[in-house]
Amino acid sequence: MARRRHHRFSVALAGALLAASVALLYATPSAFLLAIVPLGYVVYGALSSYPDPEIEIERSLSPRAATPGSIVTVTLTVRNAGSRLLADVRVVDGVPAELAVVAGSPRACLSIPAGERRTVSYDVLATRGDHDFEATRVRVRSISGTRLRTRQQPAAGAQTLSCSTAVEQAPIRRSTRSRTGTLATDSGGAGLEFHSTREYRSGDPIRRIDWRRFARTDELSTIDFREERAARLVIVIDVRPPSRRSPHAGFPTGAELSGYAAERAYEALTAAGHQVEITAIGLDDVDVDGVRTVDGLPWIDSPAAGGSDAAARQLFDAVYRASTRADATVATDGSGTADPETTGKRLRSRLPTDAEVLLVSPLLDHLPRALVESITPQDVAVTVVSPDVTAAETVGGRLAALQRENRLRAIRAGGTTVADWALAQPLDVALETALRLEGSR
Amino acid sequence: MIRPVDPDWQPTRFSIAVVVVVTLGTAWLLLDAGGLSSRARYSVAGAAVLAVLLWLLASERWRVAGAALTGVVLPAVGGAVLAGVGYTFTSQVRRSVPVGAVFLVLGATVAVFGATALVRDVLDRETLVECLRAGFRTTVVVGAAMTLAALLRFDSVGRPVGDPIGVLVDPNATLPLASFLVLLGGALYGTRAAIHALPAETVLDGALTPETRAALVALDRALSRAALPFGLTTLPVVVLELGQSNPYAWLPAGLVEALGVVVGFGPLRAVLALFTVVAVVALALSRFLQSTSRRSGSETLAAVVPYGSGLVLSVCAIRFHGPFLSALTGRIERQLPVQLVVPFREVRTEALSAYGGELLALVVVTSLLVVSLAMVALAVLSVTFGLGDSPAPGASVAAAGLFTTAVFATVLGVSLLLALVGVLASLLVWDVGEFGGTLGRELGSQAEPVRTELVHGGGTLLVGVGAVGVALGLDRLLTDPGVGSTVGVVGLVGAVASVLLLVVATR
Repeated sequence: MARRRHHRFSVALAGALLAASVALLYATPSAFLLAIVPLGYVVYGALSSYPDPEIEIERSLSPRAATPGSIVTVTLTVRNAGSRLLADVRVVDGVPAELAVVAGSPRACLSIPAGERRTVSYDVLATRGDHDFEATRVRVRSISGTRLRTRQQPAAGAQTLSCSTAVEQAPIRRSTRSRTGTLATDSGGAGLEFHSTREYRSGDPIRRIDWRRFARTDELSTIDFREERAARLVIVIDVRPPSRRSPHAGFPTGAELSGYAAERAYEALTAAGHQVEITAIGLDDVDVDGVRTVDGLPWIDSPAAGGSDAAARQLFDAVYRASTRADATVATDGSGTADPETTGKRLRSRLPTDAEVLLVSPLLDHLPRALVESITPQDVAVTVVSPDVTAAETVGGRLAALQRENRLRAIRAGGTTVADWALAQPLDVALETALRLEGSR
Repeated sequence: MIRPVDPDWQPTRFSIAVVVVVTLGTAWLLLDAGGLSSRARYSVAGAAVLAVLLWLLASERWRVAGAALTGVVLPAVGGAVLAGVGYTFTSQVRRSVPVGAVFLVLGATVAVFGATALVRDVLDRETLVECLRAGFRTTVVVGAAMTLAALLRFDSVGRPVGDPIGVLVDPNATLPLASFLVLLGGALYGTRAAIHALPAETVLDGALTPETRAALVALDRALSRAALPFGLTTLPVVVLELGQSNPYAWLPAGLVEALGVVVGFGPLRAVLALFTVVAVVALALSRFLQSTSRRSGSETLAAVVPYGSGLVLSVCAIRFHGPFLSALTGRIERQLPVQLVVPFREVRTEALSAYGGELLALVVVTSLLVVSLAMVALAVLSVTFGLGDSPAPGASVAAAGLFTTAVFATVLGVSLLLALVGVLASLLVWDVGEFGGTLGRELGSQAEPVRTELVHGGGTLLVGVGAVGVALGLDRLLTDPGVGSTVGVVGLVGAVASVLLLVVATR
């Protein structure tokens, strides 16, 4: 622990000298007496001793694991384990550089009687990944402030904030592949859940004949169950520079959140047995180094078609790298960004005829809408998941929010399902809401 | 780029409150006890206004308003400080107030300035320099108006001039060489500077043949080389013409006549004057556009409005010179001893008839601006060479002013208890302010350290009260009839010196 003397009261010496000088110059003996007060402070500072702190620090997180964009409350409990009052304890928690403090302060000044404890709370904005807290910096001063000790003290308790969870609701509207899976479809056939009854046709399995109806009406009919098939899905992630914007400093960018949503959806869909392919638009050559590219687009096939989870992870990592890179700039007139027609053509040429597209984009410019409109005429079902990174505090932010809202409406008007993901709510809630709305239409 | 006030890292609110309340209360008590509160009120108000001006300049939101007000308010600040400190000083010289009174007023003024500045923690170099810059820009305009007014009223030898522009382009002298050289230099070097400043190279790129380009470069180089000899020639000629009524009598009459035809040729002088004016305007515009293109809108506005303030101030001084000078001289008259009133009135009447009300008003405003700028410059020097490292410079200034006030209050015969309270208050202000400043810098405003500040401030107050008790006890001991006053004073001086030496030795 570093010790330091702070000669705070040196200035009082100068005061004492001034008083003595005035006393001599103006022949005023009482001015000498005035010098006693500053000298008293000099003695006070000189007699002050170094504090001898015994401090215990414990850190807790609530919740312990979070999703990107959610708020995590960090509570630091500082206990004076010594036998003397600590009048001036200053603590600065070692917040990981990736986490932005959005409420409260990780810095505090405490007076702690012997044996008692004080708490410091602050909120951080979670971003993707595991974030290790650094040791807490502690500085203890004597009451006079002339003696101080400083040290780095690791806190007990939570050391890492983990930020990743899986979504439970897969954002798929219908099955697209006639392979048995877990996704319930609107077509009747073999399955578990009742769908409809129809007139018996030659060749129908005997176990699907509705014998009760036959007993009542003396007519043969066949029961159709809701078919459960494996979906074939292509996830398109929008990482272009216009999407790399965040509502406030320290918040994840739209591209980063798109990557996060895509990764969670990929995990949920593959776990359910679906065939998922992934691509991203807006990645530079430096980003896709090592990632398989087809027709200028990074493309990861489903495991059944030769892809792998490792390759998917590689693409997601490339997406995160690109989405947090600050060197990408956008011309104010929109020039220099990807041409929707070209991007649409490339995507269409790669899309399997029976695939469904999940486009994940913050919708901060016109391209995603144009992309959707260029794909849907092919009878390819599209679902859009859009993290909302617009901020309403400024005029510019409100304008951007309005433009995004208009794009959402236009896409919905075209018959496309849109999951508008407000960052305050978990991703799966947004998906569930969007799919419920779709189902009710 | 000025630093906007960042409330997150300012001294704590508790420390600011303590510094402001204790400083204002103690300064008022000491001034009142010394009988100087009425004399000090102007300077104290001026100091507070100057600090508020710094608040505005340091604020991102009010910066343009601050820059506009600086030039307008600074003369009032200078006048107020002069009215307080200067008047007390003259009173002290006249022995109408005790010796040391001026330091008491000065100390209180400085203390109030420091405490007010601490409220927004604006006593930093950037803000003060911004104030100095804005004030200087206003002074330039007012000074230029004053010079123009003087030129309009007098020629070089003190005679009234009817039409200065007419004199410039159509001189009456036989050989008006000085004005011709000035015009020639203005046209040549003004045009050269304007061409350098304007994007001529880009505009004419490709339009010039290499030969023309080489000729222009050679001309430019020749002009550059001739600048010093030209200036060295012009200066003596100007001095010569200013000093003598017939400066070229020593030259042959034929030469004087021939030269006079050339240098006194009206159309030629008019063309030179036109070139000078166009070059100066082009140069100013070019420089202005170059600087504004690199600044934000508010920065540009903040840089320009002081000139506008100078213009407004000049117009007001000219337009309202009568009431302004009457109020000013009336106030001065009321402060003067009776025997000086009549001579003062005579001087005022003579000055008004000789210089005119407009010019006098402009001189007064310019002088007040210069006084204010000198005060701000002093503050800049203090911050640069001493206060810059302090976590709460405002508290340090307030404490220094309060300490000075308290010490000189004893010289004026204020009760020892009150003076001791003043010294204690000054040290408390410094300690709490500095402690709060450190807390603000280390932890920010959200740390809520009031409890710690109370413990620290309580300790400081207790030590101070103990020291005051010791001082009062010693005073009682010394005034005891049993102790000889000489012995007591010698003993006290010895004790203080011993402690001082002991403390110095331990370091």
